[in-house]
Amino acid sequence: MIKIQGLDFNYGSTLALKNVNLVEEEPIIMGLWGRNGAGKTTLMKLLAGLEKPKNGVIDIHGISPYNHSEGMKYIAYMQENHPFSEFWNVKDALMFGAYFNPNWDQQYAEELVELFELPKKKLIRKFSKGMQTMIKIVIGLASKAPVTIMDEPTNGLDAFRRKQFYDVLLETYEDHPRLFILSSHHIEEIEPLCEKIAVIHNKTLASYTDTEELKRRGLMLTGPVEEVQKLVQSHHQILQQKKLRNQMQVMIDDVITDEWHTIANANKVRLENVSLQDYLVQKTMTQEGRD
Amino acid sequence: MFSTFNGPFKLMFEDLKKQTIIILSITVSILILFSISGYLIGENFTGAIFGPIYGFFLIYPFLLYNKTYKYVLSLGGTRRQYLLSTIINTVLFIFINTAFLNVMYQLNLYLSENNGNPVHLQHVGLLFQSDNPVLYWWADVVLCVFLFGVLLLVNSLWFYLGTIRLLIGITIFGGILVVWFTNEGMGKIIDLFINHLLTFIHILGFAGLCGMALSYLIMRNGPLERGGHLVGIRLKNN
Repeated sequence: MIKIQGLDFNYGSTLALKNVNLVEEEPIIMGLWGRNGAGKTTLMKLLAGLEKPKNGVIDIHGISPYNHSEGMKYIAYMQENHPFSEFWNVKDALMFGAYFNPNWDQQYAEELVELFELPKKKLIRKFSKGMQTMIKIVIGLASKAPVTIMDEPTNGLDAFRRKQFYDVLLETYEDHPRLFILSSHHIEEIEPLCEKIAVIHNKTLASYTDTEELKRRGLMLTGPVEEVQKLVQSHHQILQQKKLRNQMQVMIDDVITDEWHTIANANKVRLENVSLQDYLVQKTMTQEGRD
Repeated sequence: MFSTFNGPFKLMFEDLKKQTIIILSITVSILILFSISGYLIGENFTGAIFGPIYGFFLIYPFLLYNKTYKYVLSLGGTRRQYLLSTIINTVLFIFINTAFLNVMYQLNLYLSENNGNPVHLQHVGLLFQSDNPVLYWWADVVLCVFLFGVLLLVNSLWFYLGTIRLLIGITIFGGILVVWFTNEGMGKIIDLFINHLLTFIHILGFAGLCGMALSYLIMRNGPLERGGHLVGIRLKNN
């Protein structure tokens, strides 16, 4: 479905992505997480054919998407601040969505507009942030493109609309399985939907893992300073350390196992799994940042 | 059968259609205002109604890359599709707008000659000392092609190179042009304008077409943002 090999990209002489490799053959919902400036948006632009790779290969359904007119048959990319004309209302946006996407489902698009209660005749530029996100969602889902990329798809949505988005996304995915790539700074917002998560860090793909496997990582040990230090002294992957008087809290890059439970209980140290967001933030923090 | 050119073409067509409705409404309003003024002021009232249409094709190239370029690319169109659909549609709408302008001009002329309207309109075609309406229309078409094409090239260079590099280029090119103009160019241009007016405007039209062709070549691999290809170089210099 998508294959990225040895992908490099520069903005002028500024490195934006270095040696990215990723293969996904199945129509899954993929999360894309990275901190500001990590290279997420650049990667999405490259996948959508908006930028030309400096080196390497991007293959989507057998085509290289840059300046390839067939690209629009396979890829829909809804940007975070998606550009809409100041003259367009919802009706216009759907009309152009239909012109650009061969698999466009007009009936479904209209159902989504009703569901999100979007005013059809109001100009999009007068929409609130949340409503602008919703029209993006409508176009992205109704395009039924084999590869649908959505940047910050929950931006500005309240809890109710976010739930509606989750529901419609899963529903359309069940009906027409296709590859969704959802990008967000806030992994908690997309993690419940994603089968796999790609982490972009230091201008490259740091990991591409099953969500469940990733969620098991990140272990917090809390207890007396001497006990905690004794347990982690040989551990190479210490992500965070905090000390408060005679208590200490240490986050390590590991998974909770029965062995860990036994050791922790024996040493009167509390053991817990940290949130995915905390784990990823610490994992992608530089050594200077930790210090 | 789904054509990938369909989306970019229709988007540009719809954009120009909306702009045309606005421009032609302004043109008609001006003509109505002139007619009312003509009745109030008297027989020798003279005006021109080509301003909004010429002005639009002068300004439109500067709106393109900040607006429709982004809409087409964000919906999945390519740069080549965008440029082709922009050029084809703009030329099409130059024909439509100038046809409308000339219909209004000829209608006003007819009414004026039959004492139905005291307003006399200026037209670039009057320079030809001919009353052939097709020649008048063609002169408008060619001049609008010139304005749009040359300014599209300027804006394409601006978008590709960024502001500073464009200004450096304009300074160098402007200097060469001034030297040529003051030495021999001015005489040639005046001679062409006075003695071979039709050739002169066709040279301008050809320059417009060259501007469009060069814009296509420059922007078919253009950046997403103004001066985008040179961002890193600028950062390094800073």
